[in-house]
Amino acid sequence: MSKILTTSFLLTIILSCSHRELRGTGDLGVVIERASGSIKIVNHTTKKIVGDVKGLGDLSHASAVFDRSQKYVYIFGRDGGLTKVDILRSKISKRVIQAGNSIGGAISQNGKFIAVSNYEPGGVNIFDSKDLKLIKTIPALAIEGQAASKVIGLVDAPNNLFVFSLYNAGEIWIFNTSKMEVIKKFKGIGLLPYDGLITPDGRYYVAGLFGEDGVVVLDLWDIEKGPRKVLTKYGKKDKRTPVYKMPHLEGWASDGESLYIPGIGDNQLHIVNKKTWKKNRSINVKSQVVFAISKPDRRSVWINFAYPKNEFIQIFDTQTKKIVKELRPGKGVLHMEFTPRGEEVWLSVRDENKIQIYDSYTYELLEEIVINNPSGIFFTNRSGKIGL
Amino acid sequence: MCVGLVAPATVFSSDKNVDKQALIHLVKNDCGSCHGLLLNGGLGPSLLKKDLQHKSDKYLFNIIKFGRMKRAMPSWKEQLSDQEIGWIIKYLKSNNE
Repeated sequence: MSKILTTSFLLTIILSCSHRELRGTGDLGVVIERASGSIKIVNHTTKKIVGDVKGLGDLSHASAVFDRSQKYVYIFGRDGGLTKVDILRSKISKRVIQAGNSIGGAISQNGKFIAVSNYEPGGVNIFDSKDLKLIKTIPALAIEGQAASKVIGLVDAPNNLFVFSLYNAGEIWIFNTSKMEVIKKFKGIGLLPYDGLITPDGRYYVAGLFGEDGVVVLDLWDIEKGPRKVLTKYGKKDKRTPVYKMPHLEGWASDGESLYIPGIGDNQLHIVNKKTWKKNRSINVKSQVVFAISKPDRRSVWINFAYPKNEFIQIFDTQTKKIVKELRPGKGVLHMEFTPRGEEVWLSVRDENKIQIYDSYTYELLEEIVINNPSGIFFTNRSGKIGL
Repeated sequence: MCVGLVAPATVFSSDKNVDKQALIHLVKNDCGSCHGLLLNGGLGPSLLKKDLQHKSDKYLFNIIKFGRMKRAMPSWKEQLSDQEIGWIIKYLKSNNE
């Protein structure tokens, strides 16, 4: 009898130790700690830090994408580091150093491949998303005999494509993961494309130009037509103020009809009609825009700014077409991320070493989380969105 | 860019009126957005000590103050005094971090 009791007792202990509370990942995310090579895993329901992963190298311009299960996040580091992190276990699953200097990456539509865009050596590397095995290297060699171009504006696109731009060479390339080859190179698209986005429906790839006024639009439904330059009069090329930080183009800067494009060297946000590709209007804002992010309900666009006004954000109402609010979270507002349905927005305030969480309707500051030198904030719901 | 401008010698020799911590923060975080937080380059070139040694102080002064035409390097003359630019150059050329 005592043996039975002892065995039962031991089994109970073993089973209780092996039982872990099951949890989902739909309300999780990561925050980059840019100065310490680490990330914090956060829960945007509880507004708490739930994990911490170190050893990710130089994260000073890091970005992230999630796999289809939302269990893994791929972190793209500045130093060429590519790290697959298990966000439920808060641990590195796999890490490789794949280049000398990198700027970002994407995950293919089917989730099988990771692409990383590199400054040095200029080009794109393609990896198996399961084990980060290198599958293909694409040197951004536009002109024979010249150095490879820095690659920017890499996005995933429908039909398992990757699209990206060559900064130095002024080209747009399309890579097909089914064929594992570059299927299209568009040369002479414009001077110094500095970033690219894909619209949320995956139809248009838009590259912003730094070396001249204009943006370049490629209709992925009609690739053979090639890219075309639009908005060539939208900027103030000859009267630009110094650009202390490049604006960033992301597909979320879009609602149903319009695309919101930061001005270059001017304190304006340009609203562009996505059907005609003509400018509807320009909105005067406080300073040079870095990010313009459309709230999920599309009722407003939240805007942050470059140095020296990076302690402010402004909120543009898409119905009244006016700036309706200005907030001053603190020095170094680097990034903004809405909760999946948009009721709250998280801001990284680098110099305050904080994440601030605001009610996106009342603008009330709800919570602050101490995180060292925070930059990018990425929530798992991005896994279901083209281009994010 | 005024290629021929010669910066007064004092901008490289005097630390008066220079908030060093603020400038280090600026260099790492704001210059760093293009040159990297660790100053090892990005869209802009490396600002590491070893990569600047062969570049003259005058050359660097002109680039920081006036920027580079048709490139992404902005002019900092509205944000930084000559003294501050001079200190930044000294800092970068002696920085062992």
